Amino acid sequence: MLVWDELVSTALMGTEREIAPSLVCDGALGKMLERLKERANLTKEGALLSAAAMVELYKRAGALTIKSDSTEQSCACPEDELPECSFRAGMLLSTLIEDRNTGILTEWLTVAKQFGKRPPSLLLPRLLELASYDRSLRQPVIDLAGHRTRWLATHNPAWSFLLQAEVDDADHKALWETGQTPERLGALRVLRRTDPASALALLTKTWSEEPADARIAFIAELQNNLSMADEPFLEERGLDDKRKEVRETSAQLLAKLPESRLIKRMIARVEPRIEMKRHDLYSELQVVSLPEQCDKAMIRDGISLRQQSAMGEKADWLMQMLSIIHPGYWNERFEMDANKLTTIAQNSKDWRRLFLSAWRVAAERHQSTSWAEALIPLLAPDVGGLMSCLSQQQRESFFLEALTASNGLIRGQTRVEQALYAMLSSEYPLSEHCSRILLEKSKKELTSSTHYTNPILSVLPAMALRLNLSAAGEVTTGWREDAMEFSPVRKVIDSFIETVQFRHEMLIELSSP
Amino acid sequence: MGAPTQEQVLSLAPDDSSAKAGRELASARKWLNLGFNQSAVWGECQGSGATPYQTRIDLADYAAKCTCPSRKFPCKHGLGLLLLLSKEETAFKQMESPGWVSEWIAGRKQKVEKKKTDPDEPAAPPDPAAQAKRAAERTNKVKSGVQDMDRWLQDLVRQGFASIQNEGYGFWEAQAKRLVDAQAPGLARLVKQCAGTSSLGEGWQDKLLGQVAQMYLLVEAFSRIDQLAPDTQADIRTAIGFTSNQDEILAQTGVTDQWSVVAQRVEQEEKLRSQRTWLHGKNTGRLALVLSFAYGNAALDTSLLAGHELGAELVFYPSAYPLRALLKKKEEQTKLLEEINGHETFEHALTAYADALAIIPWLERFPMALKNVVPILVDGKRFYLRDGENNVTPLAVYDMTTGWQLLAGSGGHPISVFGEWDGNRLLPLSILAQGRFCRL
Repeated sequence: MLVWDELVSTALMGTEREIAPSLVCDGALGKMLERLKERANLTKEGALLSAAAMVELYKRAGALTIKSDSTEQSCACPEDELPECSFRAGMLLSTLIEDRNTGILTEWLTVAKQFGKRPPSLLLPRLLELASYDRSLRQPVIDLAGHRTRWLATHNPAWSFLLQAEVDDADHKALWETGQTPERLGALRVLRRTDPASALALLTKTWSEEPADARIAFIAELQNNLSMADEPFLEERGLDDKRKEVRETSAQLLAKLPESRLIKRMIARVEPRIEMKRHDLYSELQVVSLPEQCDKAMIRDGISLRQQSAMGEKADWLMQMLSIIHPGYWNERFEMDANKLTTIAQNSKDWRRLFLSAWRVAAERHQSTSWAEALIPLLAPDVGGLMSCLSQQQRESFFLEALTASNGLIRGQTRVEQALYAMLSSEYPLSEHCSRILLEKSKKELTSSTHYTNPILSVLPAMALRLNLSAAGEVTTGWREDAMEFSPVRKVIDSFIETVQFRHEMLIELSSP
Repeated sequence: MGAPTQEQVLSLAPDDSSAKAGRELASARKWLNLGFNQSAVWGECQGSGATPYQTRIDLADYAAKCTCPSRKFPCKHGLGLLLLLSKEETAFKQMESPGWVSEWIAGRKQKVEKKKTDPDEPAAPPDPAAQAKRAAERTNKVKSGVQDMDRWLQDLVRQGFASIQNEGYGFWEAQAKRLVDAQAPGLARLVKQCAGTSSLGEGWQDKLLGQVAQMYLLVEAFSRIDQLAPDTQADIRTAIGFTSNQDEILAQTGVTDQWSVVAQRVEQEEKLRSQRTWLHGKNTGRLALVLSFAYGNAALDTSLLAGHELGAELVFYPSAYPLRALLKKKEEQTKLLEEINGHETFEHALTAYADALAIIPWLERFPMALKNVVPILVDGKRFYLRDGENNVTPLAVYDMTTGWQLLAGSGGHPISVFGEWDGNRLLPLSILAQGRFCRL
């Protein structure tokens, strides 16, 4: 607007220096401005400001909207099938997001999914925001995401993790052909989950042209849905790769496949070196000979020259070899179960450590439940990894059994403690039975000592997250009275009770129709 | 009013952290001697000190009083107590209130009674002559302050904005302070708003000229206020910063309607919190703004809850385009808001704005209710609203989360939006989507 620009330029330079604006304009505004000139006793400055006030109002009153380009219109999201959760359930979710309480937040999402509720629409941005930083939330968010969530994610590149599952395999294949390494890695990861064979085929096709860094990243993706179908590629291409990282990853993956040529070679190396000497009353595991050297073929199969234990060099090589072999091999070879074999190893004066350490790694590597069960009592308390081979149910029965043989939860009764930690650190909730017993025990132990060093206090926070909610009604009462006074102990108990009650309220809110 | 809903309680929270702290206290284990009756609810909460805090709430308007040292209102104990009442009424014993509760309730009742009876006693004003004298003195003071302001504004454009471009906040603060001393706080506020304009970058001179011209218009109007219509006089006086006697206004007959509380926003400037509550009359179609101010740890008025509708009588302040109002009477029964009535197109809304501007040129924030509009995102960072005629208008969204919330609330479908139009952009305050009201 010319008249406005004139006014601004005069105001900027000052009426002292700049000539007065002409104030010429068409239409009604022009007439108004004209009248201003007729007014007596109006200073130059007054005239400028009055004119500016008029034009400014004229502009504001005449504000126009912009006609949008109709092609830019995004389409609306389809209606979600799931109903929105209750106001209270939404409030709970909002609190969890605010606190970045990922643990219970995951439970909220899972329980909501279970009962067919969706989060309030207005909370979706903050939820997606949090999940974009915190990877552990992504899968539960993806699982629960309805049309609206996905629609929203299409508008923000930071939320694209939600859409990766949306893109179908054809698109991933296209991305693999044309994308940069990070995108190709993403595509490979998704394809590996949905269609492992074709992911392997794609990788095989371009393998020889891939740069080293890409090969290192790509081959690690084969750990998802690993099967014997991958064995030829890993054996023939991976183990002979130029890069050490690729060779090592290949060897580790092959070591997880009991039928692989690598494991067969390993068995062939070990077989003559180990024997079972059977006496009348007992048997004895014996190492007939240790490997004299670690040759190229052994290194190719993943044996490391760097010592993995405090044993001698040669014993260390043997231990590494043993740890690769599926422990079931020994059951077959000596026709004994895991319990029997581990007991024999335990009684071996010279080779106890070698066998137990090797089998522990092997059991974990091959996720052998029976071997884990056999090894845990012998290796306790340091058995965290082995506990992962057990189901939560097995962990619980192991815990309950150990508990009957002890007089407390955490009294240097290491088996109980180990089982307890393993149970609480797993992602699964405890059973109702186990929860009740645990709760009872905890209250009792706090009765005998309410000192803040009582170790039971350190497991209460984790217990609050895993406790079965059918026991929620029992959390408020039964604590020693003087523990309820204001003290650090009370704080821990309070927060335990609050967490359980929060989870309980969440369950009730989300499960009500 | 009885037990509130959780939603109601949370809308009382002064901020998110209070709401969270209140939630944590909403557990019967944290309280002793919980009780309630028709007029109040109370309890004692163990804090970090030796004696528990005594928290009491008047159920007539949810005003809270607590012995804790918190400066927030209501404090977390008040919120916690109300939240507990909303979800676990059985934790409270119905009984006669103890002394520390009943005395407080009685005191509050007395204050309200006194307020009510005052205007009915014409003899009460102490001395009309002295009052008139005081008013005349003030007017004179303002007059000379406004004259000073006139010269100051003219000086600005005589010397040119270029010469003051590098002036800091102090330059504007000094003039604002002179106006406060002259008892013209409204003008002072306008001057303060200019501080910072010159550092805005491109177009700052346009903005500053607009602001300065606006103030000049007001100064000019005040200089010949006697020649203008009474309602316009009232608007000018309000803009300058004269206050009105609330009791006199409340004594008048108001507008009775089914009012929807369509938005509520609390703004904080130093220690003063101001709560802007927008209402929309169902039958009259009128819009009203109820303000509540609280200084320091005083409580804001909690009698109007956003997202509800209620029968009420509102008395408007005298104005040529009345918006500001006082709540005179309200029914206790409220119901959840299910729709916001508004303009279907921006053209209509902007016409209404232009009409209002023609009547009050000093109008800063204009209420705008829009129906069937779709929030859209452009270039991944700017939010707009689009109406049914495919026209778009920019939104004043200061943090991305608010923008995303709008988008999430609509899902690309038409929704109702209520906001304040500042002449260029719309500040969204609340939405109504799929029959649900949400504050932004």
